Amino acid sequence: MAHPIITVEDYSFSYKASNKKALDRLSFSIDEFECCGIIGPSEAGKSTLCYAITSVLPHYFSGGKTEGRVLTAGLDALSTPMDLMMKKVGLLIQSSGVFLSGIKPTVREEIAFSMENLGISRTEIVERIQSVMEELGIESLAERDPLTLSGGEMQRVALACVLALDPQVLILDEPTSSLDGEGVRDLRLILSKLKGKKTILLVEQRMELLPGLIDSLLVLREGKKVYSGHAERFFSSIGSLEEDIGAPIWTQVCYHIASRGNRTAGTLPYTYRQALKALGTIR
Amino acid sequence: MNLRTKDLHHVYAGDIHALKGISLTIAGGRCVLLLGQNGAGKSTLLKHLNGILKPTSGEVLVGETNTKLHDAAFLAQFVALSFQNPDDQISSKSVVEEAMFGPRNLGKQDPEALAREALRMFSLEGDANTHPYDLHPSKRKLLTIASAIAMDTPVVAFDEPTAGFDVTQRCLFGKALERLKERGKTVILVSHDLDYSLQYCDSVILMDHGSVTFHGDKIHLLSRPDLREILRASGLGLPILCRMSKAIGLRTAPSSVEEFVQLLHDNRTI
Repeated sequence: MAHPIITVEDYSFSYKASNKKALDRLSFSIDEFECCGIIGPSEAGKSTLCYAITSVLPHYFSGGKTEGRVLTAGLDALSTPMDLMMKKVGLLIQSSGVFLSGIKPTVREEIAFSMENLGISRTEIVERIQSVMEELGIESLAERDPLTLSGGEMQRVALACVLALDPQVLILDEPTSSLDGEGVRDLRLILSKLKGKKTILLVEQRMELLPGLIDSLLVLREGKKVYSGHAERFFSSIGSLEEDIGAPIWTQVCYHIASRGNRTAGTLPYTYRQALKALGTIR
Repeated sequence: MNLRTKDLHHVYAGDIHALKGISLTIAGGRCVLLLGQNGAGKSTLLKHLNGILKPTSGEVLVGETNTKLHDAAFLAQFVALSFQNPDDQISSKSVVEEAMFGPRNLGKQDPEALAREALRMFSLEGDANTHPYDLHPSKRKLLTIASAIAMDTPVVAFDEPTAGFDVTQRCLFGKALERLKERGKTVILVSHDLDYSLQYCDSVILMDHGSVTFHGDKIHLLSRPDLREILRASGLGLPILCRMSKAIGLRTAPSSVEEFVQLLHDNRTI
């Protein structure tokens, strides 16, 4: 049986000088090798949760108020130093440009930088750079200046820096928000390759990315858990669409058709294929 | 207000030819969607409209004003621009001050009224006295959009406005676009998010490597049999709704969920 690699127990957090809880008595767990989508309106606490799991919160946002427990890969995320946690959990944030050091002249050296900081041996660094560049298809970028890359390329280099540390858990906070169509397709391909090899937490606003990729879903609103469980079950129930959460555009189409025909029973399609099938039977 | 470019070229330092002879006329009161890959020249073109950048050769006319003859401060009365990254733009200590900055600089009669009205469009009136950096990042982005609208200029341009927005915020922005159109503003929208932005625009400009590969009505673009190829040439995929409508045998490609459902209905299939 699979065992949980992330356990969040009755966890609350408020930022310094804020009287509102960014996360409010949150409990859930994620199994090893699971791919979990995290969605919800803005200010639901999605990014805060990413910071909590990667132990960024206590170190970068001092003065906050914490209750409860967060266990990540066997470590207490509320007290573990970041250099220890970085080897277990990789975090990719929205603006990948910020992620890059800005001082390394080439992509190759940028990827090496994160490993050098953790004291990994030179031969091992060279091997890992090669394998991670192959995995992400960025060998041709190796000698480029990181700061001259396009948004999509920069995103892949940032991901390479994270994956080079070989983390057990990969956390991505809205990775597609500034990517163009091609960039989104490339990233989806990379994630589907990593799926099953890493535990993945994916925060997304682009719902079309999720079907076929994620196993489970965590839905947050105003710091509280709204839903956690099977992803398809959430989107295929008609009620969920009337909320402020959003759904894949094909699910929305079928929802509008159903509400036009006053059809309240039944389920909505979750994947693109299911939607085409449903539209086929309507015709 | 009309916008015109005549054989516009722009060459950045290092001999980077970002715009290669763009000749366009954007009619006043239209909402135009500007599409293309990263590096296609979209942002460079936008920056020519309010004079942040000047043509290396060729001309840009904002109404009757040639941007070569005036500085960006003067041209700001015609064109307001909202940037992709809010932190490039924000400079004031409170939300309402930030939104007033533009209209005050333009010497508008009641900058505060303009600011508060724009903030209301985005449900930000409750945050009027908050420091912009205490706002959630997506609200900060809404603030930069509101600040551009508060300038009440005849032309408003938005660079990737909806990146990172949730459903409610996308709706707010959509409603704001409709109000700008009602007021006869010329709106230019730069967006990667084809599935969202197509529904709000009247016409589309496609760019690739510094050149314009298509400029015309949205309806004309969507009814082209070679739509897939045209979009691919600009590094874009077919919008999902177009893909779906093709797959189930509809002849017209819809630009919104509502249009899709209407098309199905008109075909008496539901």
